[in-house]
Amino acid sequence: MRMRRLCRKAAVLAVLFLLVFCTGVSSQALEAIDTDREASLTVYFGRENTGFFGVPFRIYRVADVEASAGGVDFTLTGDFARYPVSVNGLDSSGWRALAQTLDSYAVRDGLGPLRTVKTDSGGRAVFEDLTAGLYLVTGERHIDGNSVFTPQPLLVCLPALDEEESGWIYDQEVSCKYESGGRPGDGGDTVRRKVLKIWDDEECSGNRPQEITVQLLKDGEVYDTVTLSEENGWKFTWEKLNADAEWRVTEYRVPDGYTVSVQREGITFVITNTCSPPDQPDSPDEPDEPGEPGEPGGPDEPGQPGSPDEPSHPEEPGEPGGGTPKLPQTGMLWWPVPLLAFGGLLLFLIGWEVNRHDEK
Amino acid sequence: MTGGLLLLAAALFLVGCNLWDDWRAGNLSEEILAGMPDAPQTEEGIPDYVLNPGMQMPVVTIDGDDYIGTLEIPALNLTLPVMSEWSYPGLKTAPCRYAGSAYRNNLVIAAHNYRSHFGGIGSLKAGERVVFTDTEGNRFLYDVAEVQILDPGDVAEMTSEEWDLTLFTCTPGGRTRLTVRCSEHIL
Repeated sequence: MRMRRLCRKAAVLAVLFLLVFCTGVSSQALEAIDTDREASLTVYFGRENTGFFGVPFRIYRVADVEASAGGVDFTLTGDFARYPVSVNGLDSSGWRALAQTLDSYAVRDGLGPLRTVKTDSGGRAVFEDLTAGLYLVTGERHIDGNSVFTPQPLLVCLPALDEEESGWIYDQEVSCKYESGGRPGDGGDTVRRKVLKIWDDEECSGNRPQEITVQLLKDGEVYDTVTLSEENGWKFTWEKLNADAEWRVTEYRVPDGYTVSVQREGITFVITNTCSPPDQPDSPDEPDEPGEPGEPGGPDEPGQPGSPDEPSHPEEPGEPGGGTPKLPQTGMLWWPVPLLAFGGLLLFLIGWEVNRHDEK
Repeated sequence: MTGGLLLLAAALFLVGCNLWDDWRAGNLSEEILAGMPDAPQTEEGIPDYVLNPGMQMPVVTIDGDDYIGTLEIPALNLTLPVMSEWSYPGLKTAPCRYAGSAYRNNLVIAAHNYRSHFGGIGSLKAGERVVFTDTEGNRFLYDVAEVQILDPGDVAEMTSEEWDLTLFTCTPGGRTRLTVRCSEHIL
């Protein structure tokens, strides 16, 4: 059985990067981003200060970015504009899920990356001449001895705010989070993968479809399609999958009015569909001023009034306080027993005494 | 004298009915327990309820009734099935979920005060163990925290989410509710 452990080395950096520099700024107005200025991104992939050499990394430009009074706003762009995902107001977990979701879509739909760069001897892939925006970075698996290192997709905002939140940094370096595990054998090892659907739609659960369709991707190709519904508890498990392949999950045809995010937790892909409340309608135009009213005509001859309807009988009033909820009655009928026993004994003794008195 | 004998007979009849009802309910619960399928082996990875605490508790259906799992109270030597939703006919068969979910740490279970059901929970002491196992084999361990007496109208207090697990039944007179509050057992 393969041992997999999630190595957290340097991963926090990427999350903090996004949180602190991209979304966490809300209390002050930011200077405008210079969209003409070139930016660069350096991605480090390695362990224990030893970089992995020759690993291809791809970069996709996912969204436009602009500074706003409330922080930073992203707008999906290019091929990614068609995907029903939420790109603003995310927490660290949400960013991680978004990166995984977009990575799966990009692989499934064969989107061409903006650029592909291999890591140098120090484990660094350098992307230069980039414009401002939100970027998705994905890398290929790297085999080192008996271990396999699978880089996790990440989202990076360029430029990012500096630590004082006083200016923008256009040249960034981040470390890539990865999963590591033992190298699979010669085709004999298998793995399990689960998918679990979560609905986040309390505000509009009436729009929830009866079922959704999920695609399992094997190295980016659709390998299987399953339907999730109330009947199967909105979950499914695939058994005996090739351990040597990369498995991803995408939702096919996200329901109207929902966004999707797919996050992998261990062997489980959690697909969350979040309901997006409909936009408020635009304010209607002011009505035109009414024209002058015409001369009123004479009154029509009134018709004969009809018979009044039969008055309905008022409903019987309920028991006073009957609407107050009460805890269920969960007791057996014991209370009459002592009353009956005591009363019976009393009557018996009285009767016995009367009889004895009569006999005398 | 005849009237007195009739009243005594009525008292004896009521005692007999209650004892029979208690015995019947205990037998029914045992039959349901025997009919419950073995919980599957706990799967590798993170349990679904951890990933989605808001999920419905899965049920198994036995004789047309849905059950969400079993409740064990070792101190009372009790193991009982727990019905998914409460109803008066349901309470005559097994303890019932009154509100909440084990996944959200706010499960409330009601049962009759049959000796074979919750008749003995008033004797539970703080620290004694209670275990709920769902139909997928996930075990939830609790410790008794305190025993309270609530009025029948204290619905909001009964379902307050302050406690991880609550068990309740009627006091012998039926005028109040004997309530056992439990906290999640910290390993």
